[in-house]
Amino acid sequence: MTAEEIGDYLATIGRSYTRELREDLGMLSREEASRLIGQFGFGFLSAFLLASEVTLVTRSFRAGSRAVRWHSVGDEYYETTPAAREQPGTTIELQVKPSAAFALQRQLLMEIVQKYADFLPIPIHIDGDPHPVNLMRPPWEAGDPQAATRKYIERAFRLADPLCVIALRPHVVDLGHDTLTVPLQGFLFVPPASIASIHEYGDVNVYIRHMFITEGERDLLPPWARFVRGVIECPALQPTASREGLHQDDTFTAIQRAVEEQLGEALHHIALEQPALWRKIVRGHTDVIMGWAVRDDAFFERVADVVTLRTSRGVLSLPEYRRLTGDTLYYVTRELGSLQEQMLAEGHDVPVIDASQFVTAPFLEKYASRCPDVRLARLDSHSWHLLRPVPEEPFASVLGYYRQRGIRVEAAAFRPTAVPALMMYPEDADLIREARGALGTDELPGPIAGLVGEYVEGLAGAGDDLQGTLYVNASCPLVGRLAQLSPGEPRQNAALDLLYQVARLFSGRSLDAAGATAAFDAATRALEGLVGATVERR
Amino acid sequence: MDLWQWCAEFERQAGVAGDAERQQLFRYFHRSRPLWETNPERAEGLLVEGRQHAARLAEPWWQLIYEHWRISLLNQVYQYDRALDAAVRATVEARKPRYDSCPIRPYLYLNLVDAYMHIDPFLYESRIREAQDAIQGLGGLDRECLLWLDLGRLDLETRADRPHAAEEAGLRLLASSEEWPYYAGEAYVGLCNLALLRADWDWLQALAAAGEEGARRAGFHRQLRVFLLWQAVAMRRAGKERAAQRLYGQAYAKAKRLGRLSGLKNSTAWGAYHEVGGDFEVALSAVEEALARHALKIPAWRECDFRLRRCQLLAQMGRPLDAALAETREAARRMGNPARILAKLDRIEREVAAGEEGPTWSWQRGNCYHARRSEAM
Repeated sequence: MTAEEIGDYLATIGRSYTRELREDLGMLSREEASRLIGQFGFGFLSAFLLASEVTLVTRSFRAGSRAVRWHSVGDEYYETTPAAREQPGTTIELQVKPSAAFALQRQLLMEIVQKYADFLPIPIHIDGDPHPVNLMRPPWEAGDPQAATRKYIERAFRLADPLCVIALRPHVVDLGHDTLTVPLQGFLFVPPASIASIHEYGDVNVYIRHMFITEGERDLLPPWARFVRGVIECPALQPTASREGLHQDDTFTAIQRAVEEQLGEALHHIALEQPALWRKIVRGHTDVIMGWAVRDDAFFERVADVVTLRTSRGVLSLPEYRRLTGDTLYYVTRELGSLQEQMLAEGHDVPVIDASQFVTAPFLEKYASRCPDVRLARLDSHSWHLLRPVPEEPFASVLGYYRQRGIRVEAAAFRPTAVPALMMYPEDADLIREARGALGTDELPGPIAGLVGEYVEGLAGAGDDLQGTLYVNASCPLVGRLAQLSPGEPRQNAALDLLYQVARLFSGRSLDAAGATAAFDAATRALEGLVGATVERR
Repeated sequence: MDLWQWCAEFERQAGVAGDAERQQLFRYFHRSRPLWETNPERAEGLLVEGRQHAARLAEPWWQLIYEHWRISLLNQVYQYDRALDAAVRATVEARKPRYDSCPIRPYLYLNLVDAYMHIDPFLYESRIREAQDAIQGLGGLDRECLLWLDLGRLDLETRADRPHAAEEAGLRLLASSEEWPYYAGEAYVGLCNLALLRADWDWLQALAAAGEEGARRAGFHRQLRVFLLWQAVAMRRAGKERAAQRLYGQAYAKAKRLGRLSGLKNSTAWGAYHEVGGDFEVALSAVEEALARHALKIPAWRECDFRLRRCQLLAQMGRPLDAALAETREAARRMGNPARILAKLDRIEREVAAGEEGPTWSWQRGNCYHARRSEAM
């Protein structure tokens, strides 16, 4: 720089030499212009964030120019004096503030350079190390872009062996009357399988003219692509004044579309040409992919038959599952206590899908809504349709015994036949019982208790018995034998008491301490009755 | 210690103890929160996973905290029936002695009240007010609970046609939400509605501009769209059509990108923008679209609100409105307390019969209310 250029540009906030040079160059050499990174004209002055003094010795390339020394302590004054320098160029010396000395740690410096200036074509050396710490060019400009990109992913993202890497390319947009080329470069990749669904990606690092702008940008990728990461370089993007973010203008929208189109095409191609890899991608990120497929129809179509679900017979895809059940999807959503329902389903020789992971049920619902042949059967608290009604008459003595004791009972046939009886409760029985108990005390502030009570009483259907209904299994040989015993015979009474208590305990419903004690008490008495009867018989 | 401090402290202590499993508990929330608008199903899934993780670790407080966040999400994404069901269950659970010193109880009460407010603010108006007073009376509420209470009062009083009380709550909320961008944004949203009712365009512009700044900083997309629209309304009213269209275009593009166009079209600001510009047809078609899509799927009072708006627009356009009035009255029969809606319908009918120029949004008549000019703005 000349002394005049120093005055005009270096020390003037908001006036950017680089931007003006780029504009001038733009007419002559677009290639050269696109490499310049200055934009707003306060980059240099940011040195004072770290330095108490900045000294610069510079000599312009212009013929006849002389070296100049510029010195400032960061206030409104600066001084320029003649200096000694043989070759054109600039040397800058920062006197780092004690409070900023931490920034001189080698490791930190290296990380900063590699983050912000990895792709800048100027070599950056630390501590006289002859090897520059920055790459100096992005991997897609390397001789072997594929290998360089994989190496870069390992270095920058600390991720080895991505499942696939998708190179981004300049994108031609058809405007109808003309075409527009979006100068897009970079790559996207699918990381190896998430260990837990909490690992949701969908972010890219953004570069403009090889200068780092931001990491973790989420709006450039389509919303469903939460299993994808990458690097995007595009000089058409506009950084904000702070250079930490991007203006979301029309160009941004065009680049979003370009990225979505290229990613969509690439994944479609993988699904067609490399089905094994596609399965690996989808199954590696099942939860994330299911979660986003529920919101995006086109994406749903791509993944619906590939995702796998946990079932009582292991991990299955939906087409595999449908072959076993004749197109009915049996599922349970309850996190605990669905054992009874699963057992009933297995009794009918069908596996049950574990839909306790939240996203599974909406996914199944969407699947069923899009496949006319598929029927959904939620089993928790809705498993009556796995029971077949039977005439009561052959079991009259058994049913009569229970009804005399105020127990709601029905006869039904179901499998497994080894199960003599099951207890089923209205869906909200536990809540209603517990809430009613609470409302009778002062455990909730009055108006809050009123609102709770209003809702709970609305739940309690008139005909529902919160004590539950006992279903006696007509297909169970033991029940058949008990029904043939003479009514009132002690062995029958004891066995029926025991059967009732076992069904209650197996139902998975929580019992309070008093309820559990009563259940054990009744079961013990029943056992004593049976033992007594056996002893007497001997 | 408020809820956030408690969560952060728990995470810190887990870190100190080298308990990675417990240290991870809070992370589900951090992953979920940015998705509340863009993918609520996924966001809810993460909150459920958080609760399940807490259950595996036998951390009942965390289970309830995750349930509280899930209910808040459900209320935010209009799933009020599910929100109410979950809020009742969580409230019943939270009364147990094991939660005596857990900071979660008032939050669950507030969630419960919110759910009722969304389900039918007309039917439950007095009971909601009593519940709000009862929560306030609990004492020892943390800062967020107090902000939430004011937000609830702003919503309730706006819906109850008590603009002065709403404004009071809104300004109180604004004054105390400096470090809580979400609540500050909601205060601006509520006050923008009131500024429209008051036909105070300068105030509307100032509120919306301030709201936009905060929403941008905090990355709240929904609020940002609303503030852009409100500014477009103010600009249009001021005759600055190009600026208005630019702001409107920005709001539209952002909503479209996130698949939230219908939400934008249902907003008061959308209707006001088109009415200010004389595009009554556009405003009407947005209402018709909303009714076609949502009728019978949304709470009856919301449906009646849309239908009432349709009647107002038809009257304003000089179109026949007998059928629309009859449909609205029919829909109002499904409300628990339709008196206020029916009174408004009667008024529209009376004014049309009297040959008055169509009853309109009250702001166009300048007759809504003359609020005490706020010191805050």
